[in-house]
Amino acid sequence: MHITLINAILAGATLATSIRAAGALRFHTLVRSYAASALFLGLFVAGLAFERNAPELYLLAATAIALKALIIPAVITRAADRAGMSMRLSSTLRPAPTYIVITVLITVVTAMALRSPFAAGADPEYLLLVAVAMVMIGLAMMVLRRDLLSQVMGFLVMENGIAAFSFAVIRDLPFLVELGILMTLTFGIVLMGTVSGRVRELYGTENTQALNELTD
Amino acid sequence: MSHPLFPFFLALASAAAAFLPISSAARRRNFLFGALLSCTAAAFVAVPVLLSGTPSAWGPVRVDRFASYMISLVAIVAALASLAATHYLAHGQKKGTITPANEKTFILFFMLFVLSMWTAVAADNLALLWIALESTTLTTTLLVAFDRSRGAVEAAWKYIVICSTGITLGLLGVLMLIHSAVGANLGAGALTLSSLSAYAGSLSLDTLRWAFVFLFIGVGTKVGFVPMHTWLPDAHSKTPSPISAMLSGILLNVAFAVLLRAKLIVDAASGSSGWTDTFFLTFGTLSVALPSFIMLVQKNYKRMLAYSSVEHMGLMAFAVGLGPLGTFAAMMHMAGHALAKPALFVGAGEMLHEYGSTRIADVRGVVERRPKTGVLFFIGLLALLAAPPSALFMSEYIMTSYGLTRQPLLTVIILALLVMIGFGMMRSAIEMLFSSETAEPRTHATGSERWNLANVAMLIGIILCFALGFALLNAPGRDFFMTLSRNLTR
Repeated sequence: MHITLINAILAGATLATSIRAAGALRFHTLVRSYAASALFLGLFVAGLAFERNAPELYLLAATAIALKALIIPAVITRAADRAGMSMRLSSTLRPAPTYIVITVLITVVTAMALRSPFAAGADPEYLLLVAVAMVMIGLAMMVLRRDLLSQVMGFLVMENGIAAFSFAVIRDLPFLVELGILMTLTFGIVLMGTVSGRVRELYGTENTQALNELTD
Repeated sequence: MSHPLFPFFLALASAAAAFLPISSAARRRNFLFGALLSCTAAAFVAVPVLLSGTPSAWGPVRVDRFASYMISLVAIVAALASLAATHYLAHGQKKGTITPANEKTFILFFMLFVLSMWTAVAADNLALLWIALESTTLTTTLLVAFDRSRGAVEAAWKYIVICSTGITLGLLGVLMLIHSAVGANLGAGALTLSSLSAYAGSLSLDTLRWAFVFLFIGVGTKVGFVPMHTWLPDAHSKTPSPISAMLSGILLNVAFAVLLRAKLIVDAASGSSGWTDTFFLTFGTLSVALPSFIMLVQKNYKRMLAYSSVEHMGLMAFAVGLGPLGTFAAMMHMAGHALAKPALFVGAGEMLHEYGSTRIADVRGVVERRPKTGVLFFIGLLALLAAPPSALFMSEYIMTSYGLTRQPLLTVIILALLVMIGFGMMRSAIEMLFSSETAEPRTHATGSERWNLANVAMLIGIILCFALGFALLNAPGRDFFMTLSRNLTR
């Protein structure tokens, strides 16, 4: 199979698994869907490295896969097991309406992206659409979900979308810049995990609806 | 000592020094010394550039006149906060609420926070700028949750989730800026603010406008513009007061400075400031309006101060949206607010120590019980509410008189909202400071309060705010700000 076709399939798989994560109401499904999405995106970057003959992208792909597809999901699963976290997650919408809302949102943002000045220079163009769709899915997860873990996962999906956006519209972003941004975001996720652990300790729940102590 | 990176290394060394195996008292002394030395070094870097206007650069860092102004403000606020923090840590140790391990964490993140702010305002490289801005959130999250209460942890959660999401959306804006530069074949300069400014005319205006929208929403979240402000009252009210002083006094300004840089590029590309002015005017007015209503019903004095910060960011945005003379007023306002607000937050911290509550209804007779704190808090509030000769009086006078010629209706609305804010804050302050005591047990005899480092920090902040006001009455003071604002307008 030609590398461009493989890349297109990997980008599609990244988006599909992100959508699956948005509708997942069980802990392990959510974490696995996210890990799969991160893995497909990492493989896509490796495919780009091959296609563009850019060896430094292999290193970036390997780092991203190690961090996002392996380490972060493993750490989150272990922390949840230790804390005895509920395996049932909470959302304002059931999975079917969630998928409908996300489909509508993706349609709107991809239509906007196609009319934006980035569409003309995006390489490949479908990656731009995948990227904006993932940013939207991440934001929707952060708004619709009512538990700490899903909100962190929403942030992670959004971050994957932004990484995809950078590959779509900027061909030669220096490796150190990519790595710096990746590390900063990873540190942010570690901190989110730490704070969510403290919230769970003090409130005895993962439900963000319980966080209502601070009002005017 | 005037190498651009010298204060950065000193701040880093001061952060590392927190982990030396020494006593707590020695650690606090080291912290204060290190923080003040770093701030002095920053002044050595900033002041020559501020006076001459000749930028100095090293790698991805470029200190121009505006960056040196921001570095100076960060240094002043950090120095005031370090005085208050030393007192806060000593008091916490005495009461047993702060362990030596907590103290190390506090000092480490305090210094890294200052370092992040300096980096954010001095960064020329767009990626470094974004990383530094996100680092200001990451270094302060654990400080927001420092007292480990439910409220503090809730505030920290909202803070990191909302601000990180905002800054991540801002990253999209940064990538779009880079895209526009790559499209214009700027080569190695594609990643720097200076080259984007220099070649703004050759960049795609459409792309720049998309970038500006994302930057405005993303970084505007960090500034605390309504409606992206929801994290701010929670975080600023639950954080230890010296950190609140920095969050409110300077961090919001650091984020605001990033928006000003982005505005300058878009305005240069479009040949007019009208498009970006609309954003500043709209979000500015909203950010003054919401706090004005909340001030009338606010029951928590730290939240009251936090909403006041939203209001002042709104006023600055409104002023910038008015045009060049508005930007001149906004620059004065930035300095005045950065000097007055830390004094008030530090005072609020002293009241919290004394009364154990942030509810306005629980605090009575401060002037009687803690005369120094009470009087300084009252004078600081007058400065914040733009009583002459505060620097904020000059800035608000200029922005409203200019506003009446540019946007008369909006300016009249803003003036009405300011009256409501003044009334709300003054009513709460008078109740707390001057009304008769409750039956609460006293920890101090009436009027026996001794000078402490927190009082010293308050006093210095207030004196500087009024001194700046006097300086602005004279031509050299106004000329300084006029030159500064000329670098930020077309």
